[in-house]
This record gives sequence, C-alpha cells and structure tokens, in this order.
Amino acid sequence: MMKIRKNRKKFSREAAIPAPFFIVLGGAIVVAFAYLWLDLRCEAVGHRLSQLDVQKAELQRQIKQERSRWESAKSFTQIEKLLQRHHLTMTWPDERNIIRIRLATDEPSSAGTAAPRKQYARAAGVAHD
Amino acid sequence: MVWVLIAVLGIWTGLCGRLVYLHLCPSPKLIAASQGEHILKSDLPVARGRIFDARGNMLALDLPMKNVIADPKLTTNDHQKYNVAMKLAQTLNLDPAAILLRLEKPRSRYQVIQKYVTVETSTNLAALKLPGVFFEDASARHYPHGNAACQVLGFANLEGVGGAGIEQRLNELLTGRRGLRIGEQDGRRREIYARRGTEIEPQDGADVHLTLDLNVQFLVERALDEAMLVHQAKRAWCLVERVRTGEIIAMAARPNFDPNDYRNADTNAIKNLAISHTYEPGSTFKLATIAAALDAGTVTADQVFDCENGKWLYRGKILHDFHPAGRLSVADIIKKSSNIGAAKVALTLGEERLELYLRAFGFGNRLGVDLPGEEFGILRPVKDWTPLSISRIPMGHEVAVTSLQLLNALCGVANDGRLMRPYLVARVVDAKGRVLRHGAPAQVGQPIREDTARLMRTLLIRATEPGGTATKACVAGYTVGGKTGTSVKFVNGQYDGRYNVASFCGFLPAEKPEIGIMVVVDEPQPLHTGGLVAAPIFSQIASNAVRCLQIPSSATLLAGAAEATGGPL
Repeated sequence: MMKIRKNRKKFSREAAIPAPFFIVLGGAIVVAFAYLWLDLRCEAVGHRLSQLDVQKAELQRQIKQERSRWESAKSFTQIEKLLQRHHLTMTWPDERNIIRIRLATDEPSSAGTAAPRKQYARAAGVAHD
Repeated sequence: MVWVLIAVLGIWTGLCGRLVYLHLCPSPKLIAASQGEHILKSDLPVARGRIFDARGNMLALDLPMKNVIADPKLTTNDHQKYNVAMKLAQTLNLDPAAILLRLEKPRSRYQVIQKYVTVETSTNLAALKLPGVFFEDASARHYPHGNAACQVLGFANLEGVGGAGIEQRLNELLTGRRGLRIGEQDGRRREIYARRGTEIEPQDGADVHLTLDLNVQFLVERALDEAMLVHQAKRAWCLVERVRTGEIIAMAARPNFDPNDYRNADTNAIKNLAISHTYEPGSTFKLATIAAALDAGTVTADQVFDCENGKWLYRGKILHDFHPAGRLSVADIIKKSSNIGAAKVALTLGEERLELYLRAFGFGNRLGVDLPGEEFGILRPVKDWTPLSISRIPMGHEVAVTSLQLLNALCGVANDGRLMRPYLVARVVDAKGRVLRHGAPAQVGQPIREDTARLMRTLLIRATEPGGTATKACVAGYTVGGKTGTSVKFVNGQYDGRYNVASFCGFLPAEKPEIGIMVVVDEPQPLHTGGLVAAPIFSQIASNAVRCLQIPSSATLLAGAAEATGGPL
C-alpha cells in the first residue's frame, strides 16, 4: 500500500491569516494612532491653555499692582512729600487771574450727579478733566 | 513545562477576571477612593469690589500679596538654617531668632514666616534662592491713599469682610461670588486640562462709586490736622455737603487711622464722629429755632426783643448771653447769637410747634446716610420737657445732634427749604457693568416755606458780616452765610466751662448756595468759641473747595443775574 504524502506547502498556505483580519487590524491601528495623536494634541492645547490662564492671572495681578502704585503715587500725601523735597510751594491762582470760558449750555451748579465736570481754560484754552 | 504554562495562564486569567470584575461591578467604597484621588475640586479666587471717589480715584482695591512659607525639612544643617533666618529677617524686617525658632522644627513641613508680603519683597526673596522657602498666593485689601477718608471707607479684614464704614455697609455687594472648578488630576496632582468638567466662573464684587471728592477731602483732612495742632483739640471733624442734592463731598475726623493697618487702630479713631457722635450743638441750633418762628409767623425779622443786657431770670433760673445786649431785632439775635433772644422767640412759638418744626428739620431721627453707626440724636417729646426746656432747647441745650443732622438742616434752609437726604453712594456697578444701585437726590421734606428759607439765608449772611459772630468765616470773592456755635460740655454731672465744643456751619455762595460745610472742634485750647476756632477752619476749607469744585464767585453770579434781568441788581 502506497503511503500518501502530505503536501506541506499547500497546508501552510491555508493556515495564513485572512485578509479582512489585516484590514480590521490596520483600521484599529489607525484609530489607535489617531486617538493617541488627538490625546496628545488635547494635552498640548490644554497645557497651553493652562499656561495662558496663569499668564492672564499674572497680568491681572500686575495691572492691580500698577494701578495701586499709580494711585499711591498721585495721592496728596505723596505729592506734598515730593513738593517739600524739591522745595516747591504751590498756591491757588487768585480768582481774578482765572479766565473761565463756559459753554452756553454749561450750568455751573451741580445738577443731580457728582460726576466730575470739565475744567475750562486754566491754561491757554486747554480743557482738563 | 506544560505546568508552568498552565500556571501562567491561570494567573493571567485570574488577573483578567479581577480586572473585569473591578470594572463591571466595582464597590462604592472603591469608586469613592478612586474619585478622591483623581477628582480635583478647586475654589476660584475672587476679588472684592473696588471703591472710587467721584473723580474716579481708586480708594480701595484688592492687592495680590504673597505668604512666605518655610519647609524646615529642607534646611538641613545649622549653618544653612542660620543663613536662611538671617536673610529672611533682613528682607522682612523680622527678628532672626524668631525665624530660627520656626526653622528648628524638623517634623514640620509648613511654617508661616510672614503673611501678606508685597510682591516686590517676595520677588527679592525669591531671587535669593533660599532653600526650603516658598511662597503662597494671597490677596489683601489695600487703600492707596492711606488715611484719607478712613472713617468713610472703613476697612475689610483679612477674611475679606467689611468691618466699618462703606466696607461694612456694602459688604454684600462688595464681596464677590467664589468660582468652582471640578476636574481631574494625574498622579502628580497636576490638573488634566482635557478632563476639566464643571466650571463656575468667579464673579468679582461690585465696584462702589462714592460722591466723595478726594480733592476736597484732602483739603478737609489737612485743615483738620492743622486745627488739631493749633488748637490742641481733643477731636475735630468736618463734613461738606452739596446743598441741592445732599451728596456728601467730604467727611473726615481726627483722630484718624490707617485702614491698611487697621489692627493697630484705636477704636475711637475708627468712629465716624460726623454721624456717630452726638453733642449739644449750642448756638448753631438757633438757626432751626428762628427759622421755625419766622415760618410760623410768630415773629418777623425786624421784630425787636429785649435781651435783658445778658441776664434773664426765667422760671427761677438765670439765662446768660455771651455777648450782653439790650434790645435786638430777630435778625440781630442771629447775628449776635443771643441766647435770651432765641429763648424769647421760641416762647412765641410754643413747645408743641417748636418740637414739630425741629423734627421736620430731621433732628431726633436718623437721616439714612449710607454708613453704619448713624446716631438718632436726642430730642425728647414735649411731654418729657421740663418747664425750662422751652428756654434752653432753642439755644441748643437739652438736645443732642449729629453734625450731619445740623448740616443737613442748614442745607435745607439754603436749598429754599427743601430738605434732601444726604447720601454717599453715587452708584454700585457689578463686574459686568450693570448698575445695581443708583444714588439719586431725594427730597425728604420741606420744614419751612421757600420765602422763609430765603429770608433765613439773608439773616445767616449777616452773621459773617462785621459785628457778627462769624466774621472769620469770610471767603474772598464769596458771600457766606452761617452760624457759629459754642457749647459747654457736660463733665462729671455738671457743665464745665473749661471744656467746650466750638462749631460753625455755613454755606456758600449765599446768592446761590452750592455747598454747606460743618466744622466741629472738641475741647480747643486756649481759644474756645466757634467764631474764633471753627469759623477760620471753615474759611480755609471753603476758599480752596470753591476752586476744586469750580463754584463761581458771588461777583460772577451777580453779573450773570444782572445780565439775565437786563440791568444791575
């Protein structure tokens, strides 16, 4: 009785992983990489936003600091100190030396609000608030 | 070999099974533990609202600060500790021994070296790179103008709660709403930004805009400082009000305090004397008595009264005049400030009507200014009056008032009899720009008719003219109307002539009153009368305030009126 020889080559070809599996695996890898990339991107953007948050807080702090410094600098006590340091004396101009130019509609009295009003013609017609 | 494989497979299967179990049916305890580790809940800081004056000067704000903290575990040897302590002490102006004591606590990892340090100082410290020293963010209330308007502003404590003044009265509006952020954190306790969930934005406190004018406030403060020095006074206070609207332009008192250092302030210095202190007003009160009698028609301005040469026996008690006089008209009773004259005028009015008028002027009741601690004053009902009261109340005895009540009554007279509600808060604006509260002029009554008020104005002008008690209240270029007051203080159960309260309340320009000013000096020495002590302070403040507020001079007003009527007045 003749022994039937097994075709090993043909057998190994049949055991190969089917093509659809590769497609699914490839897709999964793509999705995984996309997810990873998006996650990293989100992380990077988040980090940047956090940095901007910190920067914003720092700028706000600086603004407050500067406003406070400016208010302190223009406080009367400070101005008086500086005037004394430089031996300066300031006096009000005499009433007769002031030329007031008022608009026809200007009401000199206070009408209802405490809002600051314009001060006209203290120096060469320049209006100061 | 097979057994090893089976064992490995078994272990892996077990682990996978446990993993699946933990994911699909976790116990609540585990969920809570996991969430506790990963969930990040943080309060978002919020700034307290700012306070501005009428010109937009910032009077109060929250300032970012730093707390200096030390971790003693990180300062390893004694030499290093000594070095760190010395440098910290040098920069923060502290005792090095105290710092060293804190650094020598190796078990502790958190020692507060100093709280609320300025950012500049913390930057300087950070540059020194001291081992184990780090900084925490903090914020503290700051008042850039220092003592200015301290009794009006009050202060907010380190917890951000208002403790006096506007800070206390408007605490709810000034305090913002803290924000909340719920997210996740990684193993190193860093926030995972992508997993940020709930976020409630913090809402800063509302900004308060006051009617105060910092320029006028400064003039007042400076004048009071000088007065305290010149007159060796115990206390002094002053307020400035706009006649037609009731806006408070300035309010100050001495002694005062620095709200930036409120913890070391004397409680007496925190008290706002203009509204929280009542006193017997003395002769300034006569303006209400005379106005009432003129309005009721029981006397006329030229009606003459016998002022008994300065001594009048009424119901068994002698009433004195400071300046003895014979016969005086009602107009001269005000000008010479005759006590006897005022008492006789009040007698024509009667007790009931006098009380009614005084209450209509706002005495004995709160005016409702936007500050805490306002006093009612004392004005007893007629049924509680003694037989002498009708002769003593008209000259400002047996009553107690606040300076604000008296000034507001005077402003009512200057404002054609219309009594306005004094107010300090012009508007409150929230962080989104919405106006939450708007302070508007409000008339609260009309104690006297317009014609009576005009007549009273002319009578009050006479007090500042030669021969009057308030000649030192004059302001160059402006006609001033007002009334002096000198009251003897009640000390240890009796009136003691050594202790006086000198005051002056006046308005200007008398032709068209714009501002009213009240000055009170408590226990001035050696001069003690309102005319000599308070009136010059009034003049000093008023002459500069008219410039700041651009109030036209009397000459300008008269010229304008002449132009309008087509001829000289």
